[in-house]
Amino acid sequence: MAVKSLEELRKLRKDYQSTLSLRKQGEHEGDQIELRVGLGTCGISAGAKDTFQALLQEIDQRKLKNVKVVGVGCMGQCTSEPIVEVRKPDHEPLLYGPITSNIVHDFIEDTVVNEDYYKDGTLLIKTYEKVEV
Amino acid sequence: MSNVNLNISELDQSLLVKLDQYIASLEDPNNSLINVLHKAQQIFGYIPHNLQLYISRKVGVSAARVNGVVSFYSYFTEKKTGKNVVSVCMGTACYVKGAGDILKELLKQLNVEKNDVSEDTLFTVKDVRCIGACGLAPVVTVGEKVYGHVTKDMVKDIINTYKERG
Amino acid sequence: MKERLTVLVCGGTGCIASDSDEMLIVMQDKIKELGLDDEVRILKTGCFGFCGQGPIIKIQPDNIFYVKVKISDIDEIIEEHIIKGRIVSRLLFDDPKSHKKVKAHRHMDFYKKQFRIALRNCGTINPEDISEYIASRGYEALAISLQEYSPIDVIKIMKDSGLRGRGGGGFPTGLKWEYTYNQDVNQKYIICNADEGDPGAFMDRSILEGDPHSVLEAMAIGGYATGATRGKIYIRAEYPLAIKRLEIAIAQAREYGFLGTNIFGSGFDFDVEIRLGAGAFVCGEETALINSMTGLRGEPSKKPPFPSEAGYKNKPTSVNNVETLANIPAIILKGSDWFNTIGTPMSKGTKVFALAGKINNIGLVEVPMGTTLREIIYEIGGGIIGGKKFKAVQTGGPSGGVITEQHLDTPIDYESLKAIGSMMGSGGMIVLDEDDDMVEISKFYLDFTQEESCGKCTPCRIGTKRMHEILERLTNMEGTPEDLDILEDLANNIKYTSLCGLGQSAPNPVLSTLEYFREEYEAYAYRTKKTAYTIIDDKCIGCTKCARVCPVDCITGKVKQVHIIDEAACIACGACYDACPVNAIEKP
Repeated sequence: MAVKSLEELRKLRKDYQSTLSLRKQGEHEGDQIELRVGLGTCGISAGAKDTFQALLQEIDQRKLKNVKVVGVGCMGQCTSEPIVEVRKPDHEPLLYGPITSNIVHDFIEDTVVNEDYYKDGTLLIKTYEKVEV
Repeated sequence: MSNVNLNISELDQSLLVKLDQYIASLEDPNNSLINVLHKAQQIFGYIPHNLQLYISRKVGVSAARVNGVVSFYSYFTEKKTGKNVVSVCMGTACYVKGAGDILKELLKQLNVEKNDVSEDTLFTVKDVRCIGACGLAPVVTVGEKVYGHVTKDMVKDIINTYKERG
Repeated sequence: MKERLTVLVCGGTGCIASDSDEMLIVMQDKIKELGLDDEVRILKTGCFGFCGQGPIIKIQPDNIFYVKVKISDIDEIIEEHIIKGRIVSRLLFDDPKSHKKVKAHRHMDFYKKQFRIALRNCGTINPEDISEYIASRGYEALAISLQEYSPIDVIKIMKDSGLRGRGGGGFPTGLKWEYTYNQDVNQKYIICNADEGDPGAFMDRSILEGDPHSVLEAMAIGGYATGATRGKIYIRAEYPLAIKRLEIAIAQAREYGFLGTNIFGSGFDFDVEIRLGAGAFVCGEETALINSMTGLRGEPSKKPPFPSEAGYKNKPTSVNNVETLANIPAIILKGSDWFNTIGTPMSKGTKVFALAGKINNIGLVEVPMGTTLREIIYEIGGGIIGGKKFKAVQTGGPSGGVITEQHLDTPIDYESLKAIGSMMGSGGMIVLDEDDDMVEISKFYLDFTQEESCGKCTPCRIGTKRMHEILERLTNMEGTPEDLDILEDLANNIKYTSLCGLGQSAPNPVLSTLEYFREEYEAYAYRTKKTAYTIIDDKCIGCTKCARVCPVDCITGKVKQVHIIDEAACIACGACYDACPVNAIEKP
């Protein structure tokens, strides 16, 4: 399906943006939470793939319907890899690291089930200016 | 150079078929020598002299040029390697965090020279340029597995893990 | 006894007005009651400046900042935080602007000064899903360029923006494109240089792994502007993940018609192919890169002719670096005027640095040009590991030099770094502390360039080898003072007579450290360098710890008496230094 004009592209972007926001807000009851795991070389070397799997497993076991785990690129903060970003609707995204697979259980408990902040580990707050194009 | 083996017939024929298929799929094999060599190393594990000669005939460039390219790039190896290739990252970040000592320790414990095969044929130790995991410096990789924040004390455990697997 | 915690209660006017004085007394009483008064110190401080959020309590060294604390909250703070060490999150500052809870100031610093253009999508989109890139206005810059601009318009935008090559040279991108455009030849090429060879730099890899489509989009824009219909990405074989993500991205872009024939119905054809490197630092040099791409040894050629006249297969070729390309879609969408407002007069936009070495926050940072090194190291990087003393920053990798304390406040751009004897390079920044030996560091870089020299020209092939031998001689304590003059002379000769950038810049680490740390070279040359650890007599308490950890048993002394290190036997392993509880051991 080749995109043949700027208008078509812009229409496509609107569709994708709404799919993306649908993903965030959720088709289910309650709000959609997105967990982003940095899957760059640095992250993977530090065990991000295990964290990714552990998150999926944990969410599956707890039967959490409104949580989605997404792999993204390098978050830049190599010292704290593996990094997980928690995105909730109407909340400023928060980055946590290092989140290794063995603490995923508590991490989900605190951030998703209890809707709180993760107590152990380093809490990073994302406040850099990103250019909005 | 008496120890140069140029006998093409000694090469594994079933592996050569794979290489032939790859070369046949290329648009312009003559200009894609490096890609062909990558494939050859992936299939054979290393690129010995007789394989270099085979490739030169196959893609239509001189054997001297193939050898020139193989020896120029550090990624290509003409020697057989051990079952496990242990690479110590020698990027600057790892270096300032003591990667040189880790390399020495590995060579000492395995009783082997850099780039040679250990007596039990299990290990080859190499130094590599930055693999870009500077946050974990110093870094050692064994195959695909990455070990970060490596200390001299960890060297023994790393080696034993692979010795046990045989 | 040293206190475990310090509780700072704000005694500013605003906070006193909201009962902070009484709170202080209640707190002191409670702590005394629990018998914790010798491990917890309570202090009244001046105004924190957050009066609207008072009363404020800060706990050190945890660096936790509680706001709007009531007397009824005191029990919980003591129970939870002071005794159990858990943070009372409901009392954390809730930023009204962004509704985020701020646990501690230091957690924000890493991102505070950053401004992300090249890394704008890294870490926020799924790099393997083109729809997420499109949702972030992906490929719109290409569509606009093809539908609304002529190639000359695109070149003008790039020239006006002031974007310069991020791979090291700093050549204006618009100009490079214009030269290629001006060649009246049918077939032209655009090459993405992803042969990131500087050990210690990894921004290009991160961009390709995290946002591969932005590079493909920029290559297509560049193809349109210069008249190239074929793009090639030359990437290191050492980056398998980046290669995989690029392959996925290329397939997806073809499927959507962003690569291929008649893109956006404009009649413009463009496609991209990946070429693998094979581990040769010199291939980052554009003429060597082009040779390597045609299956030859990666040896550089003489310039001119420049690749923009005769490059890949002798056709006009524009070679652009990954980070440079990643900036381009943002510039097309937001305009050259916007890009022009960021940075310094000569260097526009931002630069990504890979911060590594003896620094707390290792990572990738993107800052506007003109940011000072002090800001990067201390505010973003969080300072030196273990509170050690800063010695220098090495920038530009094997082609660059060191920047010392005196230049920490220099605003960074291409010119300023050159002026102080270093260079921007690809953006590797290795932080060195007081423990690092500058002669060893120079030797490390020379070892690198000497091994990576392609051997085509004599100054680089033989010169770097001889330089390395001199450094080897010096560090083995076999050198002489004359060696320093020979070294400097040789370095300058290589610098001015080598064929390509690798050789011309190879002596830089030595020249730069010779200028700023000559005394360290002299210590080797005059053989006055200490090689053993020593014990400072009046500090030693005779605890015997050092003697017990020494692996070669070269430390002698009785309990409660001053110990002595046999300097001839000392192997300078540093075990005693780490073991000494009273800092009585001096490093060599």
